[in-house]
Amino acid sequence: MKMQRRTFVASLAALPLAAPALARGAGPRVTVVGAGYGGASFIRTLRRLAPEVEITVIEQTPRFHSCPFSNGVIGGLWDGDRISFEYDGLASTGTRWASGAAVGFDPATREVTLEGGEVVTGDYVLLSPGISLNFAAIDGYSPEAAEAMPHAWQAGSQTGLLRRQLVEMEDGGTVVVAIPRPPFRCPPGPYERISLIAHYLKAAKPASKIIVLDAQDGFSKQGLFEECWAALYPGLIERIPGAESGEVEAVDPATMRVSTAFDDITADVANVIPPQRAGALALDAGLDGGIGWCPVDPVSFESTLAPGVFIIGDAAIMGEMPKSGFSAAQQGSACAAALAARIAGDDPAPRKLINTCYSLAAPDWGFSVADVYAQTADGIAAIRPGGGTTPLGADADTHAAEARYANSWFDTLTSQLWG
Amino acid sequence: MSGHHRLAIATLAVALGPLSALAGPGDADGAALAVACFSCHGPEGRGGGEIPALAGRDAGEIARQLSGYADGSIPGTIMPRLAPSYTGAEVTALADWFAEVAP
Ligand SMILES: Cc1cc2nc3c(=O)[nH]c(=O)nc-3n(C[C@H](O)[C@H](O)[C@H](O)COP(=O)(O)OP(=O)(O)OC[C@H]3O[C@@H](n4cnc5c(N)ncnc54)[C@H](O)[C@@H]3O)c2cc1C
Ligand code: HEC
Repeated sequence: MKMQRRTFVASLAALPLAAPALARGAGPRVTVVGAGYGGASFIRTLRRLAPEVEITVIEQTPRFHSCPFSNGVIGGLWDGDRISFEYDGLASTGTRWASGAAVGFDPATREVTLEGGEVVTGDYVLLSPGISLNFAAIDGYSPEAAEAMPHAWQAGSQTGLLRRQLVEMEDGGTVVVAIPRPPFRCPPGPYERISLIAHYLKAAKPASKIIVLDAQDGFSKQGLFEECWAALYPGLIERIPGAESGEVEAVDPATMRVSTAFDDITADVANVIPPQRAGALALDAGLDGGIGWCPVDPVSFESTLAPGVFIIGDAAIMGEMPKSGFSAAQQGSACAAALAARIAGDDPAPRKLINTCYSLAAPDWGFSVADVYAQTADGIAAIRPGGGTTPLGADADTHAAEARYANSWFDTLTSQLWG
Repeated sequence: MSGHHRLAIATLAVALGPLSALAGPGDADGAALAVACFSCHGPEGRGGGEIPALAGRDAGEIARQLSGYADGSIPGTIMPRLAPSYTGAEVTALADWFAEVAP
C-alpha cells in the first residue's frame, strides 16, 4: 500500500470551547490504531467527552470497507459503494491522521511504529485492529491462494472478487463455502452470506448448488436460517456439519479442490473463510497472552497485560458479547467514557451495552438476535440469557419489517461513524 | 480534577442534556444508558430512517412504551427483546433524558 500522509487540523465548530484546548501539549495524547467500527466510535465519543485530548489516528486503508452489508454486495442486492466510506468526516473532527499500517507496537513505551518508519508516542493507546486471518490453519491456503479462493472476511477487494466469480460462474456450478471453528467475527455472517448467494443463484443460475463445509455443528440463529432456506431455497443448500467432518483441512487453488478429512470437492467458486485471531499488531506485541484474543478489563477495556493500552472490538475478549460491528461501536463509546473518566481522575462507571445482529436471509426476509449486557468487574454478561432472537414461525410482515430496520440501522450507524 | 477538566465535563453535560448533570452515584444515568440506543434511533435519538425518533417526545409516553414492550402489552420486532433488561428507574431515566433532547 502506498503511504499517503495527511494531517487534518481541528475544525470543531460544534464545541467552541475546545479549540484553544487542542493546542499541542494541552491535553493527554491518545493514539488510536484502526478507524473501523470500534475505533471510529471511540474517536467520536472521546472527542466530545474530552475535547482537550490530542488524538492521532493510524489507519492503513484509504477508505473504510464495511463487512456489515458486504454480504448484500456478494448477493447482488446493492453495489460496493454502499459499504465504502471516506474517512474525511472522521478525520475532520480534530484528529491528526496518519495514513499507513502500524507495523510495530511496544506496550511498555506505548510507541507505535508506522510502515514509513515514523514513531507515534502517546499517553494512552486504543487498539481496534479487528481480526487477522490464520491462513496457515488450512493446508495450501495463503493470501495468494485467496486471490483464487476468496475469504471475503475483510471487506474490500475480496468482496468484489467473490461477487465477480459468482457472476462469471456458469449455471449448474458448485459454490463451496468453508466455515471455520469459532470464535470468528460475526457468528451469523457465514449463514447470511450463504442465504444471499442462494438468493442470487435461484434467480440467475437455478441449476447451481451451494455446498457448505462447516467446522461447527450448530450455529447462530440456526432455526431461523433453516426456516428461510426451506421456504425460499429448497434443495439449493447442502450443509456438512463438523460432526460429519465438515471442517476444511486443505485447499488447492490450482485445481479448485477443497478437502475435508473425508471428502474432496471440486468447486467452481470457493469461499474459504479461515480461522481467526486478534489483529496482527496486537498478537505481535503479545497482548493476547498467547491465546489468540486479548484479555481486557470488562469495564474500562484496558488490557490486563499492558497498562494504558485499551483494546476493543473483535480483537478483545468481551465476555458474552459477540464479535460484531454493533458491539465494537458500543465498546468504543464505553471505552472513551472510561478513558475520559480516567483522565479526569475518576473511576469508570459500568454500563449496559446492547448488541443486535441483524441478518438478511433474502432482501425482505430479516431477523435478529438482540441482547442487553451488563458490565461488571467479573465480566460482561447478558442480562436475560437466551431471550434475544426473533421467534421461529414469525410472519412475512415481521421479516419484512426487520429487513427494513436492518437497512436503517446500517445507514444510521455508518453515518454516525464516518459521515 | 483540574478546573480545565471540570469545564470540559460541564460543557459536555450541557451538550448531552440536563439529566447527565444531575445524575449522582447510585442514580440511573440516563445519558450513559441512552448512548446504547443511538445506533438504531439516531444520534441523540433524533431518528434513524424507519426507526422512530425519541428526541423531544413526552417522557411519560416513552416510559409507557418501554414498560409496554417489557410486559408484552405492546408488540414490536425488537423492543420486546431489549426493554425487559432495564429496571423501572432506568426506564424513567431514559425517558426523561430523551424527552429533554431538542428534536
Ligand atoms: C461478512 C461479514 C458480515 C458482517 N455483518 C455484520 C453485521 O451485519 N452487523 C454487525 O454488527 N457486524 C457484522 N460483521 C462483523 C463486523 O465486521 C466486525 O465485528 C467489526 O468490523 C469489528 O470492528 P473492529 O473495530 O474490531 O474492526 P474493523 O471494523 O475491522 O476495523 C479495524 C480497522 O483497523 C485497521 N487496522 C488493522 N490493523 C492495522 C494496522 N496495523 N495499522 C493500521 N490500521 C490497521 C483496519 O484497516 C480497519 O479499518 C460482519 C462481518 C463479516 C465478515
Ligand atoms: C437494534 C435497534 C434498536 C435499538 C438498539 C433500540 N431500539 Fe427502540 N426501536 C427499534 C425499533 C425497530 C422500534 C419499532 C418497534 C419494534 O419493531 O420493536 C423501536 C421503538 C422504540 C420505541 C417506541 C417508539 C414509537 O414511537 O413507537 C421506544 C420508546 C424505543 N424504541 C426506545 C428505545 C430505547 C430507550 C433504546 C435504548 C435503551 C432503544 N429503543 C434501542 C429499534 C431499536
